[in-house]
Amino acid sequence: MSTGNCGEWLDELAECVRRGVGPSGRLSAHLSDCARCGERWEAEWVLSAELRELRMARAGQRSRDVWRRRLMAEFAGLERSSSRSRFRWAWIPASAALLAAASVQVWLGMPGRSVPARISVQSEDIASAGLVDTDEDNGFIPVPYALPLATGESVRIVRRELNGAELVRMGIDLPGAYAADLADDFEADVVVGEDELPRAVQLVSYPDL
Amino acid sequence: MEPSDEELYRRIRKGDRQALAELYERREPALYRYALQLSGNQAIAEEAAHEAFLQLIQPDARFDARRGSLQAYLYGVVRNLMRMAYRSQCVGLAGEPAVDDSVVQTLIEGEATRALSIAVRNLPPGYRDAVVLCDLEERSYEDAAKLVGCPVGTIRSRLYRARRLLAAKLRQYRLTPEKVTK
Repeated sequence: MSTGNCGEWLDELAECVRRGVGPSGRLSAHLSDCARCGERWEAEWVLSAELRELRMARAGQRSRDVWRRRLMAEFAGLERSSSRSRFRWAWIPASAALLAAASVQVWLGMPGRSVPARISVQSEDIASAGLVDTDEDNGFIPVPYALPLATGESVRIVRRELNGAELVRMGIDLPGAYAADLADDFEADVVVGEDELPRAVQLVSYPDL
Repeated sequence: MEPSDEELYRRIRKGDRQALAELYERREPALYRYALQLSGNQAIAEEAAHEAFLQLIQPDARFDARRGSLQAYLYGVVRNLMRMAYRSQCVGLAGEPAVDDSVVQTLIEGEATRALSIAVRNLPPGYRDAVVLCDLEERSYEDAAKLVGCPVGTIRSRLYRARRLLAAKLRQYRLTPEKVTK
């Protein structure tokens, strides 16, 4: 009786060993026919035993108290600074209202009253930062752990052909269908800071599957 | 019913310390073990797990529930940190990670298990993730696929291929132990 070629049994063989169950009838017949698969069956059991050892060795106890305390302290520190900044921002509308009222008073008090007072407001250059803001769904994926842009730092967008491995090295997860093949080339728009380092990526064309 | 990770995250954004403590208790141990299996180094693993939570509490945290679960985000941060650790410490070492094997040295008694630990860390990243999540963390294929962000079939095939590579390494180790552990 033919019990099939070895290739078709490899996955089932590994799965049986992983689950710790015996081979099905047909696999069992194949194992008794094929010395090579018989060896592989034994090797899989040895591997599973060693993996179990490794799992147990690394399940040792450790104290997480120090790390937990450190995290909670960091969180409390962030909360304090954000409350301070909320308080600071709360003054902005009030100050603006006072400034506007004062301007109107000055304007009303001027003899000619023909030229309105001008108030120039300097704002931070946030146009570039908007590109890498994940709250907005603009299609750009921020590069993990890239240095944040400095205030007023300009960015440029360059189109590049990047293969999957390069994207993964940048920390960009490939779309599911392409995850298995790192050699695929993608066309991407890359946001680059003044230091020439990438900050965000948008895939614009995908290789054919 | 206990709150979801995402619900805890929403509360954390509002400054709820209890929510952070709860999320930490729920997710940190597995995150640490994952980092430990990838790096083989307790200090690096603890730093990585800690860093993942630090990223999460920052005002500009990049978690976006539309792109995946919070758990997948945390695993993604740890995975990226491990990649960076590998890149920064493997230069010129022909693919052998130069991370300190403190845990391997102190906790793993069997020579073959130690060789296996090194072999796991030298697997290609996708294969390594599959072995660590499915065989060492004992997660289901579906869970592992969600955490890595790939189809279930991909995880399964990566795992089987990885196991063949590891079994071959172990066989080779039994024949010439010194070459494998070097």
